[in-house]
Amino acid sequence: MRSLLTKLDRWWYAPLPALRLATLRIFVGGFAWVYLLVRTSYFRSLAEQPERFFRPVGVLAWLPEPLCTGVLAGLITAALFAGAAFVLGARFRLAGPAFAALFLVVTTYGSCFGMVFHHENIVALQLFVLGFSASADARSLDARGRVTAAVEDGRHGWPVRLLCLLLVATYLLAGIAKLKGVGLEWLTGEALRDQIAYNGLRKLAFGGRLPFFTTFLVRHVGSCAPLAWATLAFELGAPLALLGRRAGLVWSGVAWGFHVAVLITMSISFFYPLTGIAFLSLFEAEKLDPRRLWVRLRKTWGD
Amino acid sequence: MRRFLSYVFGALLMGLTLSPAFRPFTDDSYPLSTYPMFAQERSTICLSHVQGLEAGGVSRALPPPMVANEEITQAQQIVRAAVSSGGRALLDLCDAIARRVAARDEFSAVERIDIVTSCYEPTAYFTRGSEPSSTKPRAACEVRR
Repeated sequence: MRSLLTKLDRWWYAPLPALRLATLRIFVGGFAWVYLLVRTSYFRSLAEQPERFFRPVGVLAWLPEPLCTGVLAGLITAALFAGAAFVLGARFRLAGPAFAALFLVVTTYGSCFGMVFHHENIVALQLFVLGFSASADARSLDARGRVTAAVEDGRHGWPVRLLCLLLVATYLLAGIAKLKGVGLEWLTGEALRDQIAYNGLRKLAFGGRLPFFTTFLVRHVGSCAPLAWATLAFELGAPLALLGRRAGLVWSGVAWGFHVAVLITMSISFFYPLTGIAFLSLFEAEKLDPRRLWVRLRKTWGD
Repeated sequence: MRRFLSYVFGALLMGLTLSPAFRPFTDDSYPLSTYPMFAQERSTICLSHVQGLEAGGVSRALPPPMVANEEITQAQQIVRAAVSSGGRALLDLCDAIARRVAARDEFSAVERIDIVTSCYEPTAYFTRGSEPSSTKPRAACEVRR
């Protein structure tokens, strides 16, 4: 028992470079900031929704009525300012927890009108880890002039471990939900076929376009069975991604492929995993230099 | 101390994240979700939606921004909530949609808004071209220009 705990402790508090955690802060925080910015008009549009459709959830479950326009706009603006400081690593002791909390509040409010946005869950959870840890010890304004980038310490290790644990936990939960909701019958592919058909139907009912492949997949249940097996296997097997770099690579590839398949067959975009940023904590993220990447992107756009 | 706190923080966040596994999977929340999205039986479904009726009896599906905002699921939930509330809620929603439709040129031919609930076997719809097994009108209102 004692040796097991020692092993667990060695894994959890393993010294990792400050650069890795800092890079994760920039990418995850950057994604969240851009996401908020792009969705600002959506969040603002919630102020126009009638009160009777207000169904508060999560940390806002206590709210008796919708927020007024001014408060909502203030929260969005504060979240964007805190988000910018989070990514830059400026006054991080304040900006880190503030952005994590504000992102949670704003996105929770977005889920308070009948639809829960599942694709935002993991971003909100991972921001909490980054916001409350030493993720601004490198590649940040706070760390200017300090030689901390190469420092390997347990305080930079556990947040990375926790990011990985949260990632695999969310996929594991999705697999458990399928077993609870449909049971092992999910493996026949019929539930998946019904889901694809239902999704296509509701898109048509609301004036949208039928997603690519919907008709083909619905007409060929045989093609849904392997997809159903693969989905359940990769979701329930998500913890295997923690076994090592290669396992993480294989699992991330399958997970990314799953989200691409969902996009093609159902036109449902899980932006965070589709960008690959969701899986970054499983790898040596410090090898990605956000500044070089930025320069390359600017050159590409410039050309 | 720092090490100890990391364990407390980690255990708390992981405990919260995994807690939905012990709730009924329909009891969804954010960000602690039960992930019911693809985990429900959909062999038969009843869908409340909005149609715009044009002159000559042609009806067309109205897109989410006419109902609520750009999110299709949110529009769907709002129509569903209005249908379950019934009465004033349904008529108010119908009027709000009619006002938005009246303001848009692309819907200039739409004269009436119908909120209906249609029941389907989704798979049969695509494999056999089945019509809805039932369609129930819920509310109707004129588009005034």
